[in-house]
Amino acid sequence: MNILRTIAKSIPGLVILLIVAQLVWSNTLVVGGKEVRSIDLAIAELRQENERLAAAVASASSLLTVSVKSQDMGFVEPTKGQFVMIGSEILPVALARP
Amino acid sequence: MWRIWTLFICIVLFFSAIVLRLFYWQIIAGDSLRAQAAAQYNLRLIIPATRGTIADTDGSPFAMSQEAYLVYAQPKEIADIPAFTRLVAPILDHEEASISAMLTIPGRVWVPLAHKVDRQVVDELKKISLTGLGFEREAKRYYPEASMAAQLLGFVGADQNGNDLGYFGLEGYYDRELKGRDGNIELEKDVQGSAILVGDTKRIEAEDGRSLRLWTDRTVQQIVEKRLTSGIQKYGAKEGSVVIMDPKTGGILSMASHPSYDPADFSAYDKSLYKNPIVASSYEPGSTFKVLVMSAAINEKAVRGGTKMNEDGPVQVGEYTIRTWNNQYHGELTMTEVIQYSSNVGMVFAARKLGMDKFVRYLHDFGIGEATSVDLQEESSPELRGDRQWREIDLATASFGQGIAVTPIQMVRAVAAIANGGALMEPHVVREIVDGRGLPAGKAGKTVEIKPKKVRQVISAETAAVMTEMMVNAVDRGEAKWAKPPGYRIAGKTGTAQIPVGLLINKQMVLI
Repeated sequence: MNILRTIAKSIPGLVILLIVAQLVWSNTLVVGGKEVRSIDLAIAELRQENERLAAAVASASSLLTVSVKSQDMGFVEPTKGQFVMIGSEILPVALARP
Repeated sequence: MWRIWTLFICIVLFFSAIVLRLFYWQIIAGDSLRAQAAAQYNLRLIIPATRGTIADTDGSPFAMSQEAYLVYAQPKEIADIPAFTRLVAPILDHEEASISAMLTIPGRVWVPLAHKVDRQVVDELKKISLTGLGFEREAKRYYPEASMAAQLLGFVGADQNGNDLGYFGLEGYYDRELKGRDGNIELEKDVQGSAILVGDTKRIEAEDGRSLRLWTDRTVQQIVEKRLTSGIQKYGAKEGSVVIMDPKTGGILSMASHPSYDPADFSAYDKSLYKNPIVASSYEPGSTFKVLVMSAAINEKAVRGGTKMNEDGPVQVGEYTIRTWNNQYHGELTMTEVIQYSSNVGMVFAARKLGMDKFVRYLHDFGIGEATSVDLQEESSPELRGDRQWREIDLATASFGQGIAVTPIQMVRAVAAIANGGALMEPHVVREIVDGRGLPAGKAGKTVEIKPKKVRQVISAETAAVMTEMMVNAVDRGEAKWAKPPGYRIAGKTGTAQIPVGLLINKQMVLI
């Protein structure tokens, strides 16, 4: 009889404990959700950054950029080529391969 | 007793009403309610797929995806539409009136203002932090080499629903491979819109489009485009095209036409420039065609390089008289000299020796009148007249490339067969397809190589060797020997066709 009474008396305390546990658990989940969201956003941002950098590399290494920079640096196109014949004068037809 | 019956009927009606209502909510309106509920507690994030890159033979990109944004407005959240318009229009380079008109249409809650907007412009818009102005990420095409190889690449426009769609060239032909598939993340959210960690999460990864690696070499392409443009300017020509094909593989090393357009700003150009004339337009091949006919005649042993004929005047074919291109006659000529002097009379002699049936069979074997299956969207082929519709005069004129139509790519492929020991190859622009599908975005997958495809053996290797030497002789001693650069041994043939519309002259050259 005394045991039943003790249990009945502890029910409100147990309920309060469970409510507190529920609040803590919910709070943890919300914080975790925010972290997941922020990680997803960071992944997306990094992916965009990668694309931007790839475009920047492509732009910097394009022939368009290279030709402008080489002209700025004083390189010029050869105006008259010199040809040196080595060995037999009967050369293979251009592009012909064995 | 009647009270019991009344109560019973009321209970039955009450439960029937409940059942009917439940039937409506669960069966009839079930789908839409589920969707509405899901919209309330689910968060859906789109993971955009990246359109594949088109790179040259050493991996340098011709076309790639670049970050851009859709700029939109939510009119119901805008307090002062005229002030909003005044601030946004100049940054977007739009007219105030057009934005204002879009925003004041009654009932509209979401209005797209501009697509494919650069990040710098978006940053500028973000600085003025206007309520009711939003941004959504989307990709746009970037061309590091600007308009280089434009007609080879094609461009990316929009379909009827506003989604990206490739048009013409490689973008059109390989659109399904290049575009990939958007992914999404669907997860449960709390009242503030943040994801719930233990809730249901569905994640479908974006499948990036496949990337293309071409046979085309950007350095060769640049040189070709530069020389073509300067040549056209020098001679006052209306247009011109150059194709360089590896005869062993069929790989297109370079393909250029002038005039062309800028694929990043395609809408500013005339639509007639979108089609690549090398695969989509036909022309009369003129004397360049003689090498095909002579190859056929040698292959059939109808003539040899040393076979002699008399070019002592015009030749009569029925009621028609066929003359040489300059009305000059050289007397006794070998077949090698017929090619060297580009003699129409000599070609009629060779074609007659070959005979009508074999001539027509060789046209088919060289791929004249059939599409080459090059991997470019807009390829077309002019029709060849039916096998039984050839008359003697048709045989005679076609022997020197008149009265017959080809596309430049057909002609290049046919002549390349001579350079390839007589084997006709299928021309290809794409060398490899890099498959990123089924993998997380940004990760490269397996590479599928497109192997060179031999279509058929047209002439024997011996005939090809003889014909090559005859073409070398034509370059060394023929009409255009002045154009031969020193230090090279080149096999080639020039050609001219007069088009009787406004006295246009079409000059061509095929070189090995």
